[in-house]
Amino acid sequence: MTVRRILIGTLVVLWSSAAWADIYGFAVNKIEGLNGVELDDRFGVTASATEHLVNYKDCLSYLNIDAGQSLNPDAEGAEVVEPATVETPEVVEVVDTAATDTATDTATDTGSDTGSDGSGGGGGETTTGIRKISIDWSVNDSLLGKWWYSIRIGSCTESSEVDEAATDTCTYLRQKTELVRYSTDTIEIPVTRLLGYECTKGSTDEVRIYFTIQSDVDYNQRANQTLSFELDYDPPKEVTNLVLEEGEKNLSVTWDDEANTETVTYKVYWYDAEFDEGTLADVSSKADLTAKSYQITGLEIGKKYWVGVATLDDFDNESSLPDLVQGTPVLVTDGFESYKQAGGAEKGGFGCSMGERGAASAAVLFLAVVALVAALGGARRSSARRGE
Amino acid sequence: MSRIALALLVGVVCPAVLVAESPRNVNLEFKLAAWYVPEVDSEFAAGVHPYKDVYGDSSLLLFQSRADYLIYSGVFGTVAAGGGFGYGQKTGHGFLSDGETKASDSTTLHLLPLEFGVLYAYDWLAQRWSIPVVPYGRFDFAHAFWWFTDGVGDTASYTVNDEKAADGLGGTWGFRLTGGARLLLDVFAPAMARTFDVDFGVNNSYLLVEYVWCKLDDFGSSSSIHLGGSYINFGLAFEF
Repeated sequence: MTVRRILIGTLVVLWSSAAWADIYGFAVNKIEGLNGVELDDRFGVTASATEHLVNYKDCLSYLNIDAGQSLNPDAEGAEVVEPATVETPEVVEVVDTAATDTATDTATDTGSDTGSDGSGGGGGETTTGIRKISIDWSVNDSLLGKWWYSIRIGSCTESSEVDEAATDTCTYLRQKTELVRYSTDTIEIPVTRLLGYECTKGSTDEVRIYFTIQSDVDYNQRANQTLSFELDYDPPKEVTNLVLEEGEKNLSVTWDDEANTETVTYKVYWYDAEFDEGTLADVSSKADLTAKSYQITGLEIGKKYWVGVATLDDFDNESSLPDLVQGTPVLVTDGFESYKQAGGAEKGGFGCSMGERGAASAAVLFLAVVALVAALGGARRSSARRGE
Repeated sequence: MSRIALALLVGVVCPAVLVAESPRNVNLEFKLAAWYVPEVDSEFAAGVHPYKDVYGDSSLLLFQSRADYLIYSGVFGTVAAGGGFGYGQKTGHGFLSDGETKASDSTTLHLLPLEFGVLYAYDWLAQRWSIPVVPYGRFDFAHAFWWFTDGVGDTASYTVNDEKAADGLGGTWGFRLTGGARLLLDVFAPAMARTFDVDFGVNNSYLLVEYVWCKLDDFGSSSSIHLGGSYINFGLAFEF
């Protein structure tokens, strides 16, 4: 065991020669929403998740605001949500039980815990219902000697030391802390630290969380791990040239999409009344379409339906709906009905419909089958004899 | 000197006989039909052609495969017996209720023909002297499963007064006469043919073209759909 620790420690030291090397054995075990935050799967909540995505609807949901609203009272032109309906970020008391005295001193010295919502500090903070996400993470427990870690958010220098001063764009989620709970640790982050105070349609961004560990013996021995969250609030463009063709109990819709160069899928909506983006709850739909056409089936002949098509990007951002088209399923005479209407005698099925001539032919057929089987049997016997 | 010349002549004319081939037991064919328009409209009086109205008069796309067991092979040629199956379909557009306007809905006739019968091929010249053309003929009994589908892919049916009067699927018996010719490919690439035989046991490879006259109407039944027709098959054949 000791030998193993020495080897692993050596590896860490070697990696540390490049200051922003990955942390050996780093893993995000689980990400959860707290205080009413329900994270979508695309947020990458499991240990196996390789990407962490947030789209426009996610942003509204995680911040618990409606489109056009903002949690930031200074935002111009945006509707301000009163604190009574959505709890605005507020300063929380920091009771950092995990950190040592030294760590606390260092944090005080650097004065870097400058998040406006006061979210820095360890696991003892009181939260008073602020919407948060928690990240359960761990590193390999075989590090030699005493180590420190810190967690920052924003746009930071990857090679920074654990107690580097915070900047306007890089603030601490957790100050320099002794790395004592090797197997697993949890950091809770207010959603506003990750997403900001509003969701600006059309914008894209990337938010990074930096995990840094550093040896107490040699400050040059350190490693860094980055967790990246991609925010994409830019919906794809609308489809054009929506055309509806009426069939029997079905409507076939086709469309063009010249504007979207990224990979997109399509979602077809239909309903027997006019609808818009705000009234989609009861509207039937079919998603994940890659072709620019779809046949809606199971419709009622003679009933009018409205149809719309939305575009979705990799983040599941949904475009606005173009002008709906409408159509009514009609009666159609198919190939068999045409045959029957013209007087065709065939009744279908697999019963015997042979006439007298047919019966005679069937008898010939039977004899032929017997002869064939006999011939094949004879041939096989001859072949077998030759083989002997 | 004359012996050397004779040996060279034999080597050029009939290289296939210089290397012993593995035994031939099975004939395998893969074919694609051209110009096959089922004679559905032959059931009706002149001027009535529901099949043509819906599906047009272009060929149905039909793929077939077949295997025959060689019963006899010698100086009189080869006799084999076996069977095969295929799949074909033709898609058209039905009509709106006015009976004249074509609907956007497609409707498809599907065919799954089965056949079994006897093949005769005069291939002695090809086997003995490498003359590459092999004429052949075949007689088969046939049975075709068929079904129509409507605009949403469901099996069609015919209703009268909201009651189903007929199913748009069934099976029809008949027979098939075939005459054609095969082109023996081995003579054009003998080395490749030998490799094909050694590695895969394929004695001979052929290109084939055949004319088919098919009568599929339950042997003349007046209550059966007529799916026969005359058409040309193109394909490949292999002897193992």
